This record gives sequence, C-alpha cells and structure tokens, in this order.
Amino acid sequence: MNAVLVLTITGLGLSALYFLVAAGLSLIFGLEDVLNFAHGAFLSVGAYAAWWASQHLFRFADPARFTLALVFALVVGAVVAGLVELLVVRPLYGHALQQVLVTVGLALALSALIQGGWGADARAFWVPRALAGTGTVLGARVALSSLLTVAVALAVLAALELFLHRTRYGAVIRAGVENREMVAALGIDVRRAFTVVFCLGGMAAALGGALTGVYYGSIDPSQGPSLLIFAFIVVVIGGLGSIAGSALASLVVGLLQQFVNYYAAPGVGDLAVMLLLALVLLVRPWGLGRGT
Amino acid sequence: MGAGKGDLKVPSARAVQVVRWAGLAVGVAAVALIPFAPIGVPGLFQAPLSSPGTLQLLATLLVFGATALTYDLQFGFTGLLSFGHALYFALGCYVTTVSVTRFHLGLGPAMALAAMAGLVVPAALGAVCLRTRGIAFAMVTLAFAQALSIAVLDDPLHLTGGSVGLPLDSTRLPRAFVGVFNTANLYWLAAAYAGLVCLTSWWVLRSSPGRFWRAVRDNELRVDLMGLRAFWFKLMAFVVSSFLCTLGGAVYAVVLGQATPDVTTVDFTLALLVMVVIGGTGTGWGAFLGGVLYTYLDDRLNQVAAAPAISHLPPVLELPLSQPLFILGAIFVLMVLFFPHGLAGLMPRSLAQNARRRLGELVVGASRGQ
Amino acid sequence: MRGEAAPPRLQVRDLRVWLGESEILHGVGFSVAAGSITALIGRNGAGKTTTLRGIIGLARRRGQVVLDGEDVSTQPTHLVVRRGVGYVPEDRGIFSRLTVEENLRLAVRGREPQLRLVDELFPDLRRLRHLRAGTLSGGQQQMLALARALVIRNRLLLVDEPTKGLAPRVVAEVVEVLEKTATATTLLLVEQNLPVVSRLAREVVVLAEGRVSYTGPAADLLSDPVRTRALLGVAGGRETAP
Repeated sequence: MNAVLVLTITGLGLSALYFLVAAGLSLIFGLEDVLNFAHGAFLSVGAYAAWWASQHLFRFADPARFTLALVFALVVGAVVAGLVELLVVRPLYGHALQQVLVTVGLALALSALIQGGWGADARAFWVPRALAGTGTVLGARVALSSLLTVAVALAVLAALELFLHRTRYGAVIRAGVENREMVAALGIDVRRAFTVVFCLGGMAAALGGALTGVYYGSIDPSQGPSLLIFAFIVVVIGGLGSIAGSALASLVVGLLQQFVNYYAAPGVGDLAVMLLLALVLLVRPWGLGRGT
Repeated sequence: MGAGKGDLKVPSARAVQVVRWAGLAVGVAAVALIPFAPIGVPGLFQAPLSSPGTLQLLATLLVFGATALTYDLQFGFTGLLSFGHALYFALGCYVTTVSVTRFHLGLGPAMALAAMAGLVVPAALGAVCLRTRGIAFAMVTLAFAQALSIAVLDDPLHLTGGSVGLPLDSTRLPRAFVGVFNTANLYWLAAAYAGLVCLTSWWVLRSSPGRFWRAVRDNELRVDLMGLRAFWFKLMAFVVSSFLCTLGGAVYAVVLGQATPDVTTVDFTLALLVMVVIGGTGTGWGAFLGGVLYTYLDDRLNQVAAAPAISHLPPVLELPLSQPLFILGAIFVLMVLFFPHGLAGLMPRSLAQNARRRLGELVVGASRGQ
Repeated sequence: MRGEAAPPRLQVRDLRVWLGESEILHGVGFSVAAGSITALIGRNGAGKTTTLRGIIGLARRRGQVVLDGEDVSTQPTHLVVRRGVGYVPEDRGIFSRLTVEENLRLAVRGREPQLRLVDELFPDLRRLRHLRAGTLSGGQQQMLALARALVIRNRLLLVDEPTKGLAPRVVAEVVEVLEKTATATTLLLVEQNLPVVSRLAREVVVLAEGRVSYTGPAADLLSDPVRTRALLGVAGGRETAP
C-alpha cells in the first residue's frame, strides 16, 4: 500500500513536469499549427536560469531565494520564447513545415549553447532545506519535491484555465484555436495572440525546467529534449490545443510510466507509453481531446 | 545512341547525354581511385586522401550522404515527414553487430539478416503508421523509433551493450575489413553503398512509381481519385527508403567497427532532416550533398572548436563557436529563413544546364574532327 | 433612394485574387452605394466568396479596394475590418466552443456596443447567451453570426449566403433581419436564392468565371427571365418570392 502511494506521488510529480511542458506545446500547436521542437530548449533555459539565479542570490534567505530563482526562470523563459516567436517563427507564418524545421534548428542550437556554457554533465540543483526532505502523506514517506512539483503544476493549470476562460485574451486564443481567420475577420490582430501564447508556453516550460531541478535534484542539458518527447506524446494523446486534455493525458502517461517501470522493469514503462501513443493514434488519429 | 546519328541540327541533346555519361564515369572513377591518391588537400583534410584517417572520414561522409538521400526519398519526394527514420539505420547497425558479436555469425549472413529485417520491419510498421498522416504520422513514427532507442539503451536482454554501444567482433570479420591498412576496403564498401542508393533512387524516381510518389506529395487526394490508392505508393516509398537506410546502418557498423546508440535517437533523425533541408528537399543530389556537408562540418567543427584561434577568443564568441551543433543549428535556421530550397536552390538551374550544353557541343564538335 | 447622390461606400477596381497558385478573380470591378443592399450573384465557382475574402484580405490580392475614398487593399485583414467592415462567412465562422456571449464580445472592440439593436433584432440570443455556440441550431447560428457583425457600428457588411441550408421559415426571418439592418448600414450580399435577391437588393453584380458579367438594377435583370437564364443558368424567381 505504501509503495503504491509513493509511486503514485512520484508518478504525479512526473505528470506535473510533463504537463508544464505540454501545456505550452498544445496551445502553440492548437493556435498556430507549429510543432515547437524548441520547447525542450525552453525547459533547459528555465532550468539553467533558475540554477544560475540560485547561485547568485546568496544574500536572500531560503524561501525568498528560491522564489526569486523561479521568478527569474519565468522571466527568462518568457523572453526567450517571445523572441523566438517574433524573430524566427513569425516570418514563416503560413509555411507550417518550415516553421517546424526552424524550431528543430533552434532546438539544436540552443541546447548546444547551453552545453557550451555549462557543460554536458549534471549540476546539482539547489533546493531550500524546507523542501529537501520527505513528508508523510497518509502514512507514507514521500519526497516533498514531488509534492511541490504537483502543487505548482496544479496552480499553473488553474491559472491557465482562468486566463483562457475569464479574460478577453483567453477568449481570443480559444477562438483562434478553432478558426484563426475568423478572429482576424473580427478585427483582432491574431498574431499578437501568437506571441502571447509563445510567451506563456515558454514560461510554463521554464517553470517546468526549474522544477525538473527540484524533482531530480540536478539538471543537465539532456533533460529538455527527453522530457519534450514525452510532452509531445501527452499533447497528441490529450488533443492538440486542449489544456484540460493535456492535463488528463499527462496524468495517464506519468502514472503509467512510473508504475510499469517499477513493477515490470526499468524502461518498460517508457515502452508502454510509446505503445499507448501508437494505439491512441491508430484508433483516433487526432488524439482523444479534439472531437473532429 | 544511334538514333541521333546524322541529326546535325540538334547536337545538344545528344551532346548533353554524352557529357552526362562521361562526367558520371569520371566521377565514379575518381571516387573509386581516391585510396590510390596520396594527394593532400590542405584546408579540407588534414592528411592525404589515401591516408586511413581521411579515408575513414570519407567513408562516413558517403554513408551519411546516401542515408540523407534515403530520407529525402520519403520526405522530399513523397511528402512523408517521419521522425523515426533513425529506427531503420539503427536496425541495420544493431542487427549486424549483434549477429556477429553475440551470435557469432559471419559478416555476410549478418548483413543479409539486417537486409531482411530492413524489408520486414518497415513493411509492417509502415502499414501501421501510414494509417495516420501529417503530424500524427510524425508522432507515431517517433514513438516506434523511441521505443527501439529505449530498448537499445536499457538493454534488458543484454545484447546491445546499452549506452556504451557494442563493438563489432573483429575476429569474426573478413580480414579485408580489419586493421588500419585495410581502411581503403571500408571506404570502397561505403562507396559501393552510396552508389547503390544513388542508382536505386535514380531508377525509382524516373520510373512510374517515383512519379506517383511526387503526385502523392503534391496532392494525395487526386491520386486517390484516379482510382489508385495513395496508401500503397506511400508504403512503397516508405519501405524502399527504410530498406536502403537499414543497409546504410549495416555498412556504418562495419565502417565504424561498432554499433553506437547515438544512431537510435531522435536527434539522429533530426540530423537527417537537417541534412536534407540544407541540401535541398526533394532534389536527391541536394540531400546527398547536404549529408556530406553536415557530416563534414560536424567532424571538422569539432577540431576547429579546439583550435587555439577559437579558444583564445573572448568568451562571448568562443562559447558558441566551440559548439559545432550550435553552428550547424544556426546555419540551418538561416537556411530555412532565407534559402528555403537549400543549397540546390542556390545553384541557378539554367546556369548548370547551359554550362553542360556548351561543354557538350564542344565535345561533339571536337569528336567530329574539326 | 437616398443613396443615389452619395459617393460609393465601397469601390473595387481591377481586383485579382489568388487561391494558392491559381488566379480566381481576373480583375473584378464594381461599386456599392452607401445605405443600399447590393447582391453579388453568379453560378457556383464564379468567385463570389473569393471576392468577399479578397476585399477583407483573407486571400492574396492585387488591385484596389476603396472604402469611403481610402484604399485599403494593402492592409492586413484585421486593419481592414477595423475601418468598419463586418464579415459573415458562408460557414458562419461561429466559434463553436465559445459561448454565445463570448462570440459577441469578441466582436466588440473599443467602440460602444450596440447591444440594444442586437437585442431588438435577435430576441432569442439573450436567452441563449450562456450556451456553447456549437449547440445552437443552424438558424440560431446564422443569427449569432449576423449579430456579431452588427454588435458594433460597421459601415459595410459582407454577408455570404446567409440563407443557405436554412428552413423556409428561418429564411424569412433572416431576410427580415437583413432588411432592418440595411436601414443602418450598407450591405454586400452573396446570395443564390433569387427570390431573396429580388426582395432585398437594389443593385446586382453578376460574376462569371472570375469576371463581372453584369452590373445594374436588380429589377431590370430579374424581370428578364431570358437574360437571367443566360447569366445565371436559372430562371428569375419573382413568382416564388418568400
């Protein structure tokens, strides 16, 4: 029973990381038809930004230092993603394939840059003492870092849902996912929504990067690309352009992976996820979320 | 060739043919004779062409050039964007290596086994994956490739050597492929593979299936409406391309002397995609050129990065320039933004054709005994 | 007949529009007087929808699109629209996963919304405002699409086949709404239903294969069955008016 609970919570932590990457991917694809390969790099950018900030903010006390590091990651993520959209993706608007290609190139270049700057080896990620230990949930000892990751992902989910459903910009984005042309035909500059969505996605991914450091206790340049693949799977299973779908799919993927890896053999869980994706796509080629 | 005899008015068509074949013959001869050429090409290669180090690099260039061409067959000519082409390269690489090293097969049977796998696996997976299209196709091919990559890396059956890779047991290899002094043979193997891929692609693309591939790429619906099922043409392109790619993996295992998990990853597929786009999508020769260029730059930039000229630069410049993948990625982004047709698109077609015709007229004129 | 002396609200000159690589309109020209309803008619594939899309820049275009004396042909869609153009596409362009209210709100920008007019013309929508637009019936969706174009004061409405696929009773409702609308704004209407055209439109522009084949008073054309048949391939339909 305890094992199940521990596995569930670590699995949820993984789900949370997947969701943070997948949320932005899903919105970007839903609105702009861009499969953003650079999203993994946004995650790495966030992870290294948070790490760098935590190394340079010694004079702040524990919670403030950690919070500031997260905020710094958010800002850097938003800026990098926004610049990518403005400088590289926007000029290719209307050429969906070239947009995908350009993000592939960016993913290569950005992750090479990070490797150049901080090396390919893992770096220990600083976590405040209050979060480093374990806590007791229903009698089971679970890592606080997992709980924090889940809590942050839930907060991001709530914030995104509020933004999408309670603000005018959110309505513009949801409308754009359905019919970009008609949004423009109502006199709205839909391209501005593209930049906003890239920034939001970049922020969520950067936060995911910082939390990857918290969750694993260390960061390295390969985390972004490998999380990206699972996030792709989450997005496809959850339905492109649907935040709720992504949340649900990341739950399924994270838990499946964690449990199968534990009870079968390490690696089998990853295989199970691939198989799940293949099955979903073959049964419903457009994922579970979108009803077309 | 006899048909054009006495047709004095239009020598150019025939002349072009003559020049084309002559050029091809010279090119093939040049590629074949490189191991006998102790010529240095300063700036391009550090050692003479016939030195083992350079031959090894040239062999790698040929293998990746040809593999990029196999990717172009399905991506550029048929419009199938797969994120799982690495699977087939890895299949060839690992089936060959595992058969030789773990099951003590000879190299011939091992490669035959790889070739068989290279037909069966893409036929089966292609039939499944091609039920989807577009992004879904890209994702489902990615999933299968990723599954193999995980299996290779985790190595539950203790066959693949995990993240270290698996050396090809040299005691089981024909002696011609063992040792530094036989690098020329590895080079010729790679050249033969490249020749096979070029020839097959040329032949398939000229014949009617190849024309249908392009029709499917341009307008799948129309092919379906013609009463021909686009599915079968796509599957055919997928199998032909993946089969040739599997052979490339097998050859690469021999050239490198080992199987490395690097070729199983999605990064390897992305590298192929980059090669094709840099060279020019849907041109064939552009993809080959792109593959050669990418591999060359990847190799050379690693050495350049370590060069004192770079390491003495201020960090702002030194950091990006010391990363070959950064330079390649940046080149790629710039190509996509500013030269979407790749290197092939940079070469004005009329220029090349005119040059060839001119040359042809001169040759034919000279051969008439003027 | 008050529009007679006014300058044209919309003037289209030598408009060429492309869909992908193929040129669909080969130099279309016509004008729409302020405060009138002009119908754009023609056989299927003549380029009617493409003309509307070209006017607001949803398709690649060349030529002049002059709105109250100002050429807007080089501007992107959202800027053309902001000059006071409302567009109701053939498929209605409803955001089916947004509520009725959200659909309406998206159309409101800066200016004071004409909520009273909308409530007056579409009494049903108020009741339905919290429903997802996708759950509405075809007629209700058409009403929503029209309401969305009317919720702010537009100078020109481009309406593409508003009666297509609707039951006769609903067609009559739509026609009534359009009639009322025309008292406040100018309409360019694509319509296949000739009885509707003859009831609403004062002027008609006939398109054939990407070119204008006739412009003039609607009554002149539709009262001449021979000519109507020659231009449109169907008989004029005065006798089956709704």
